[in-house]
Amino acid sequence: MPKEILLDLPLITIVGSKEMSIENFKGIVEYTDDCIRVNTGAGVLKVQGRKLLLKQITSEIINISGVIKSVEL
Amino acid sequence: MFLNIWNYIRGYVTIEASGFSVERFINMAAHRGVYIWDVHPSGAKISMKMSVNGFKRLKGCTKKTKCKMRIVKKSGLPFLMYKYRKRRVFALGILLFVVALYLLSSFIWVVEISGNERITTNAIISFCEEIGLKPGAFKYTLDTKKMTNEFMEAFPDLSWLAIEVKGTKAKISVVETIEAPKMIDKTTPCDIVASSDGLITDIVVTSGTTLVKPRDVVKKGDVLVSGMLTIMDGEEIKGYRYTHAEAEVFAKVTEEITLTEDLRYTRKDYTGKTKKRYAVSIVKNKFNIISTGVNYRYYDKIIRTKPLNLGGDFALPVSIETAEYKEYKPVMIERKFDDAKALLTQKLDRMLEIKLEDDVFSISEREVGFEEINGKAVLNAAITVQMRIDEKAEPRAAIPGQDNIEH
Repeated sequence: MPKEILLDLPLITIVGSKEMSIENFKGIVEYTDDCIRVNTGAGVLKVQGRKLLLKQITSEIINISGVIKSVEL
Repeated sequence: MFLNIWNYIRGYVTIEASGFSVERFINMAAHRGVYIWDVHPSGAKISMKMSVNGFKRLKGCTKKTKCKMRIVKKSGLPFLMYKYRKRRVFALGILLFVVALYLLSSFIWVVEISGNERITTNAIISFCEEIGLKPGAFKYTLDTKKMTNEFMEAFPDLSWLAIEVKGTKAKISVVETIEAPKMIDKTTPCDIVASSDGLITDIVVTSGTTLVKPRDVVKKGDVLVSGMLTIMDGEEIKGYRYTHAEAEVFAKVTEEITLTEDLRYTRKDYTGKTKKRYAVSIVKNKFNIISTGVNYRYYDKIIRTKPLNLGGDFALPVSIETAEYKEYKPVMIERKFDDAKALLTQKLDRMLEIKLEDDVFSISEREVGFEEINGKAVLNAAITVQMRIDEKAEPRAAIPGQDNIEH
């Protein structure tokens, strides 16, 4: 079994600086143009950037696209 | 991309959500299993897309999160069908069109033959019609394997045949056998006779008894080389044996050619006025497109037929015929004798060119004379050519020594 499922931790995949996907999250705390905050099992993940869009959201995965400047755990 | 098609077929709405905590609203949607995509904020509002079912399920969420949902756009097949629910006949028409198109392209409309050199195209086409491969044949009931076999049986000259049905075209490719060299029957006795009058220049004999030599004048039908061999026993003639004579006999032959050309003729002076009339023919029935008649007194009619096809291999049994009527005025022209002479000489030259290609080896003499008779220019030419005059014929008992050939 993968680690993130066992320990209920998020799996963050970043492709370059334009795409990002977070798996295994709990919910969205804040969503604006330049800051998205996602609640996960490891705390609140803050993504900062410009023109951030939520490409898809389901209960397991969330896809963010846009210009990503920083990711804070 | 396929996801988009799938969403379009199911139908989706674009909504705008505004309120206090839109994030909680999105969370609730995600947790309830509603798939949301293309989320972007526009000012204080956030717009997103979700499926129609999802939308229905989220109606209850708005109250809990104190958000307002507003439908901005409805897209998808279900909405389209609802919009045109009164236009059922239109939909039926579309369906009929598709069915008709499929049906029409299930028949063969054009049969194309390629690769044949010795066997005439007409022979192949008429055989095709006999076995059922003709325009109007239903594609799916054709047994091409059986037809290929039938073809190979009927035409022994074929070494390979393929029938390919592509679209509405049946392509028949043919490869013929290499022609066996003509067997010269070396057993039947025969003589070599002259095919025309002439003066002999050369003889090359392969078998037989020669009866003539160079500088002899022969007439048409004279025996040049006899297939009869006399068997001698010492000084006595024991008997005769007939063989197959073979020889090449070259001679000078004089031919007379007469050509005439009218000095007065009518020339067509096209006035430049033309009229076009159209006709449409569907499966061999012709329908003229009605219009006023053509009232020229003298005219040339040129008919051009153009078959229609849906691009490439899908030929339809419909063709458009354009008949162009060109008016002309007939004018009587008197040709000068010199011009007529030049024209006749041209004609003669062309005739001789063809002759040279055929059989004749060289033209040695040429005498040309012109006269005017009854308003026509006449060319009389005596052409002497050197050609082969040997011809095989049934053997005649020509006894060597006794013949009527001038030496």
